[in-house]
Amino acid sequence: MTGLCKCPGSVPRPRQRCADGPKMVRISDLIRGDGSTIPTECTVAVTPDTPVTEALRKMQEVGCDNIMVMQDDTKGRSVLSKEDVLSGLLLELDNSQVQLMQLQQQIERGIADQIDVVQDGVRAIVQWEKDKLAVATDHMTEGLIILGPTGEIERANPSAKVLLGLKPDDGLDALAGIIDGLGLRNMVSSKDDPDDRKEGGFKVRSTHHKILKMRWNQMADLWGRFLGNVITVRDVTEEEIAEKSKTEFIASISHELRTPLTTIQNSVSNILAGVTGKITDKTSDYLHAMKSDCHRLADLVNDLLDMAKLQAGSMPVNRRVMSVVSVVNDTMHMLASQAHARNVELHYETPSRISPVYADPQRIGQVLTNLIGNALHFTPPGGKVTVRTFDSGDDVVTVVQDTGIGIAAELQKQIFGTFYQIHREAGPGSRGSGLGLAICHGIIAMHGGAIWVESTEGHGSRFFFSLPRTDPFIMLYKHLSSLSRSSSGVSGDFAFMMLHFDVPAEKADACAGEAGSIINELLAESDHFLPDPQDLAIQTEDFEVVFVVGDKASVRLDKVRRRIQEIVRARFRKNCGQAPILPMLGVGFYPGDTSEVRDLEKMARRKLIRLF
Amino acid sequence: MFDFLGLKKKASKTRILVVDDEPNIVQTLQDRLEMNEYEVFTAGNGREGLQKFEQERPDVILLDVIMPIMDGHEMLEMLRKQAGGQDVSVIMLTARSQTQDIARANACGIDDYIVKPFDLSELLEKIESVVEHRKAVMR
Repeated sequence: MTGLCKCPGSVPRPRQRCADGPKMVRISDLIRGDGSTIPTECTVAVTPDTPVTEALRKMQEVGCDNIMVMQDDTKGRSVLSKEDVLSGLLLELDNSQVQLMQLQQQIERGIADQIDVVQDGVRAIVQWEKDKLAVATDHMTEGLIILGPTGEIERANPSAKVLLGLKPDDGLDALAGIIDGLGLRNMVSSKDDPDDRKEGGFKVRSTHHKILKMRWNQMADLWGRFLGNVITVRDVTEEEIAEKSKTEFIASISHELRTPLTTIQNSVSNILAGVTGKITDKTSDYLHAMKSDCHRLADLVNDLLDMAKLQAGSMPVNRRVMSVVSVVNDTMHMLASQAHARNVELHYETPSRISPVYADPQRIGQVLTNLIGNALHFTPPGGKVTVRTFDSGDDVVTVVQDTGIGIAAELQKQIFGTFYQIHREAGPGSRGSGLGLAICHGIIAMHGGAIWVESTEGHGSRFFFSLPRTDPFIMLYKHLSSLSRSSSGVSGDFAFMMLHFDVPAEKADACAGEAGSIINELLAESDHFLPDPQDLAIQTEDFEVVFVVGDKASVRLDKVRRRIQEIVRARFRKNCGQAPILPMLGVGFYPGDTSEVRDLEKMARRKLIRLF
Repeated sequence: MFDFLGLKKKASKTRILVVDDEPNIVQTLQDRLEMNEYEVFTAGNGREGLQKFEQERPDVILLDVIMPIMDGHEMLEMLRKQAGGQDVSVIMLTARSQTQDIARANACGIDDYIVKPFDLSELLEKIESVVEHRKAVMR
């Protein structure tokens, strides 16, 4: 078969423009060599070079099934049937199909060639970008380490190596040794990170005594597949030293301020008390002003010191299982006169049962004093400050709501920053240090809680803080378990005591509050008679407090017993009358008596003995 | 009522030893305590405090923490080991930043503590309550 058109070049062109085009099938292509001479009545005369399509059209016009091909005289005439002519048409169709396929191939080849060109270009650009990125990361002051999905180091810039005590061109193996020594791979996220962490930060001290701040971010592709971690490393040694000296300076200056302050305060107090003789009313007024400003100054110094400690992470916290309710009650009691003086109604709404929290009552009291104090300060006379405590999911939330001036939306985020004061002119009385809310924020954060504000300007504010709930028994069991581990093999090493106020129904109203306040008092001063860190005092129920006394049990057990006796005698018996109120004490030794913490508790309850 | 026989004067005054290295604080404390009918002795550091304790046998010691030569903790530890040193009541005068040290002082047995800068009337109340407690125990 012949007649295929072959266009030059890779770009296909329209057929009609093809220089030697697809060879059209003509009648001459169909005539067999010997020349057919079948006689017929109806024929259409055509020349050999007539195209088959033309011959077919003529046959159709005339209505004949044969054609007579008029050849030159030497070859004579040939007659072709309709089938012969149709086969010629098929031949032409074949030609076209083959040509079409060839065109398709040419197009495909052309596209592939173009793609290759584009891909080469993209590759070159990507490589160039990569090179640029590598140059950029190589020149970064910060260290950069890229860990792959299995924790292997994929890339590290020279700064990372230098910061970690290596030479810039040391290999990745040496770096791997160092990051393993620092336990770095355990700190970043992994493929199946149980906590689903995406980013984080930590500080490490390098082998060459640099303090390095590391920040890591998880890498994932578009489909969320884990690609590893990218870690930036920064040398913060100088910042840390500066921060430390700043903190030390504030601590020392605050300490130094106290001594003269004490002298001034004492002197004023002495003159007012008449140590120097009688004073005039005018002098007394001046001295009272001095005295009140001494208090204010002392508060400012304390705030500065607290802030310095919070920033340095060195604020002492004395956590125990405690009830927020009793701390709120104490704070409300303390601020009642201030509320009265400002003619602001101060009210506490609380449901009967609030989960305990594991916190430092003194610090939480500090937060509450601040929040309620602020609320009173910014609420005009005749207004109302309401405090509420409630359980919310895994948290215990306290809200201090006022009917004061409110806080503009754009300021609400700033107010927990340092030295921030809002509308200072709006409230009468003394100005604060501007550190109060920042300190609250720091204290609550230290306890794993959150603090936030909701407010509409002109319509009062609601300050919330949440603290994680805790189960006192979980605390107790944790404590006892750790004690049993540390005192393995030593029998009777520590004691478990329970003070339970058995308040009968008829005395409940009169004595329940008293029992509660005795328990609070015992908890508040338990550090004094339980100075050992192994000791623990926790309130497990409304009328029950449990003491765990660690090492040297017999001596200190006696101390606890004496202290309980003193308080109960002085307060409970005095205010709630004689029997049938029976505070009781159960005593148990562990592991002398039992090896099970729950059994220990049961046994302590069984052995409840009357002490009073 | 008139005290014709001077019986009141004969009743022994409570003896207080103030141990603090700040002379101004010592002075203001002494003035106020004396006005409130206490007998006051003073010392400028722990070592001097121990000597004064030997000489004067006070009922109550007001003890500062940070002092040169010998600090409050050290003096307290030595005091409790001395003959008669267990019976004396001790009130610690401490800066707020050292409240965590109270546990240490507690191990040696202190009766109370007050945070500087303190209110003198608050300190007087604490002294009174400590003295009351002593009397109750003595009875």
